[in-house]
Amino acid sequence: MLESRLVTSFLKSKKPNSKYVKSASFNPWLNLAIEEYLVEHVKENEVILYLWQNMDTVVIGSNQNPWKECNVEKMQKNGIKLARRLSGGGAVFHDGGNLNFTFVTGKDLYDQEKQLRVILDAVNSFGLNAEFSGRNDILINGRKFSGNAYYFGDDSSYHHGTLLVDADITKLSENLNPSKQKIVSKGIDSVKSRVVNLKAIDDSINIGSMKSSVFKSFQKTYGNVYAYTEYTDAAIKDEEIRKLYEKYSSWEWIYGESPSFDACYDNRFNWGEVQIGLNFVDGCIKNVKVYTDSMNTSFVEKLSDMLTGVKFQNKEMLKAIRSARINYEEKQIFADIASLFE
Amino acid sequence: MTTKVMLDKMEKNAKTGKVGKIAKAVGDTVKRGEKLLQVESAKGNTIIKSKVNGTITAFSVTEGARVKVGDELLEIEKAE
Repeated sequence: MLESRLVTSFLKSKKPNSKYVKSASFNPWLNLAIEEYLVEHVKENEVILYLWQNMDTVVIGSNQNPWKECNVEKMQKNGIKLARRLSGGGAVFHDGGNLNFTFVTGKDLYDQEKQLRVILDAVNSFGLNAEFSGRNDILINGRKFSGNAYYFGDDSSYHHGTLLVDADITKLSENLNPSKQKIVSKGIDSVKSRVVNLKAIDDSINIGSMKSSVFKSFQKTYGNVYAYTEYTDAAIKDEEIRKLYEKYSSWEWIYGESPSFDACYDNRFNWGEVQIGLNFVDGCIKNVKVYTDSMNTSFVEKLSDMLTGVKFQNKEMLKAIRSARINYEEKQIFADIASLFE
Repeated sequence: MTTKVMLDKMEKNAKTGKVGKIAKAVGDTVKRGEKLLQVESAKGNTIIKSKVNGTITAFSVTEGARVKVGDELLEIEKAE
């Protein structure tokens, strides 16, 4: 124990090697793959500042349910990407007006207060008076412009956050709104906050000036960087990064990693009232519960057989119902049930 | 021999949290260092990994359950 404490204090007393990494890609899955690659490869005496931006993306926390946090179908139609990160916390919206920062460090060099100070100093160098909320947010005049989250690996950690500089707030609130589907999730729910763009407070702030301010503040705290890397979309050619990219862009990661949840559908049709409760595990239907006052109940078991194991995707659920063998009397019932999933 | 996996400590000294994604099921074999489940507190996400090789025999928690430091999470039958 004493020995490990000595090593820790030695590392903290010695100035860490600081490194600057930037991504020119706007692809959220690639940027998250690079972030994980960095946390896997950071040396114990290194602190990396990684700056990156995503185009039109909702990023959810590790234990969140995308269907609870956003309108998945609408996002797909509007070309908004969805990504799941490694760290905990709530859902955020990223566009070209938002800057993401990550501090990647060896485990012993992780110092959240120091890292937050870098960001606060960078923002306050514009003459602002930003402060940490104590609840993972950075605020100005009581309004949030930065959300922070953390990931702790075995030998390394990261602390990352957003900086709303000039983001489209209308799009932000539109995309962080779930559909009307009734979902009871076992996951972590987001906490809604009043947000503000830094540009709305000081017109001279833009993404470029904020990037250079964060970089300056980082060098002031951690010393001049000894290495600089810029990744582009070509980073995917690296085999390790490509494998991580495949994970981050997969249905299994984005949707399937959701803690179990239930979705409910109900409606009254001319053949009776129906309530359908679907229980999802790994994003796929595990149990189907149907309550109906209909005289014809033969469809109940059939519906359960059709849907069990199907992914929570409208087209998959509709396909399962439409491709099943049904008799004439059930035709209208299944057509009506299918309309619930459209 | 059965090993109980306890919530010994959480990242940043959080005391309570919510069970997030459970990566394994009863009957699954696990290797030392493999991810078992996540527990998320307001301070961050803690990943619970297996310290032994073996087979999961029981879970004491479900996804979404509220847990505190000291609680039992699951049991693993150690491989010989």
